[in-house]
Amino acid sequence: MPGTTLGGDLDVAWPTVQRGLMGAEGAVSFIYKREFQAIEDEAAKQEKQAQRVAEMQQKFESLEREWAQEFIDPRDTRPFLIKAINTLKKRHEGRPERKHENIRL
Amino acid sequence: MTDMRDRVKELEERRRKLQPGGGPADIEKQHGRGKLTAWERIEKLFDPGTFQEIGIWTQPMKTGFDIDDRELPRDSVIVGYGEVNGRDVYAYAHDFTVLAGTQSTIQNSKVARAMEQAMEEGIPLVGMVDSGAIRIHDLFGRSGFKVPVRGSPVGGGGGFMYYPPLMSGVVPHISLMLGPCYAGSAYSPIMADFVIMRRNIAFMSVASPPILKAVTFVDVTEEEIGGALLHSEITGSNDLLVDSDEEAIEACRELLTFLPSNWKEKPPVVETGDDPKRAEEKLLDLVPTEVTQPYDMHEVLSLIVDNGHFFELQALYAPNMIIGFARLAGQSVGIVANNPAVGDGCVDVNSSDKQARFIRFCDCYNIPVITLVDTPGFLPSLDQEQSRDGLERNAAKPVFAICESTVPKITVYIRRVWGAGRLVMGTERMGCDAVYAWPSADIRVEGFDRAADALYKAEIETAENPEEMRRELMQKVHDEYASPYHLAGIQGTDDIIDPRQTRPVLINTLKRLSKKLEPSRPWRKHSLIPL
Repeated sequence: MPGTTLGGDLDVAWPTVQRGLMGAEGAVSFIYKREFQAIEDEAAKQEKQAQRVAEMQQKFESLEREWAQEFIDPRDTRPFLIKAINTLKKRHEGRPERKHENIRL
Repeated sequence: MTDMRDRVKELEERRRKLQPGGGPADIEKQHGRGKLTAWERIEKLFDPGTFQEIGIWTQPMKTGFDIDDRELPRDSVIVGYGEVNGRDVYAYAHDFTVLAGTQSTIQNSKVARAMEQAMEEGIPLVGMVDSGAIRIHDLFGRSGFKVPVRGSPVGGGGGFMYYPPLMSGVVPHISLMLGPCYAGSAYSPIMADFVIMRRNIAFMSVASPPILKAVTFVDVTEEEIGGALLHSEITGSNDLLVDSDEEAIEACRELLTFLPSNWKEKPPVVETGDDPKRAEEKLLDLVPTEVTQPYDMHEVLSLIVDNGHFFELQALYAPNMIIGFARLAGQSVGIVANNPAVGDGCVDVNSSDKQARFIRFCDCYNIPVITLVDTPGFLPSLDQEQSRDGLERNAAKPVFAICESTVPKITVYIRRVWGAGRLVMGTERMGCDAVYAWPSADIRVEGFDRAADALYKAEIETAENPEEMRRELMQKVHDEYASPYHLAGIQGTDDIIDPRQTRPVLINTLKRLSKKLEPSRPWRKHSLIPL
């Protein structure tokens, strides 16, 4: 559900949001695969993995804050939506002229 | 201070270095798999010397990971425009020799921008997909969390999924799947008008085998969940199955010749040299008048169209229904026909899908539709009625498509026009501009056993031998109502024609319909065809 990337109007999140294809562990295991393979000692490898995962999680958190257009308190969801719908009521958006589309049936 | 000539030399040198994409080892690996490189595909697609690349200099976004130090020319996709058989076309081609063509922000941004330009400029788009899924580094790096700009093509990561629906019905969009394509990467090319897949090389599914295994603990192969054959025979997602890059590209070039550049144009007329008045004696022998005897409708088609040349689509999916492009007196037409050789020419859930979308495509692009009818209708089937696909809902699709369309439509009743098959193939009241019938036409709105039972209930019940009386009355009903003369009597058909004259009649009717004016349709945002 990518929101504005598919033409939505607002990207708003609860504080619990976790975007992405896979968690920090999954991402780290892929991106730093070669680095881990080069470490012989098991203990040192685990330490490195933990370090990378912590870094990745921190990176996610700070980038997440940059991405969302607004973070809201879950209790405010209803009033927020109502206000947003009222504001967007007069929004006008054109579409290219054509007879009709050709959606997969 | 360098002068102009030095700078031009530098430009040429830089371009030469970027040109091949990946290194020689990567290119050799690509060839080793029987695949062409992105550049070779581009060269094959376009008329020689007409291709102009856009964005050869683009760099991937900085991710903050180690791949930032690598040379990744074009961020793994070639985008540009050129001529295909003399007409401008946009194209993009993923470069598998650069980091396996994995998807990234800039790559998608380039593709999205090409889609937007194709749509604005009224030019078709061809996508050559060969992508090893999403680039994790890019997704989890800085670039994956860019502040979104609504549906933006340039710099926006999702634009390549946003534009296909917008350009649908505006300009033709064809996807050539020449490699892997998973999940998010697949959503974009599958929204194209036509998909061409390479056997054993192209794979398209929502989850890749490793992910499926991790979640369901079942071992599957790429072929089982997303192979080209699966999509050609079962899912219906694939329109043309090919065995090489060259074959895919040749087919794409030919397909484009049947289509206009955009929805405001008519398709180009091509000189085929085939006599428009050609009458075919063989048509008298091809179709048995005995309704239980099958024959292959392809043979009928080949005698009618220019030079017997028929560009069939989705040949392996719902083969009981035939769709494809052909020419009549050089004019591009869409053919829809039942095939009595397969499943007795019944219509069903899959054939309805196939037929309806093709008619809607032809309607978008001003391609007249010629329908040849010989069907017993829907075969009563518990399976189909109870299937999740919903027989009734799917059967409505071709009816919807025919009624909605404004493109010239000609229907020819070859033989059986039974039951709901009539509605699904098109009648004059549904907006068909001309309806013809062969002398072999056999029209049954309702089964004659039920008709006889209903109309002659008393006669049958009071007869000495009810069964025999029933049979006699069924025959009587058949003789009266099934004949094309009866149908013509109630204005159900414009004329009954000599089969040998089918081609000249169609061509003459098309000529009259070439000036058909666009009827007014009620304005609305869009229709709600059952999906």
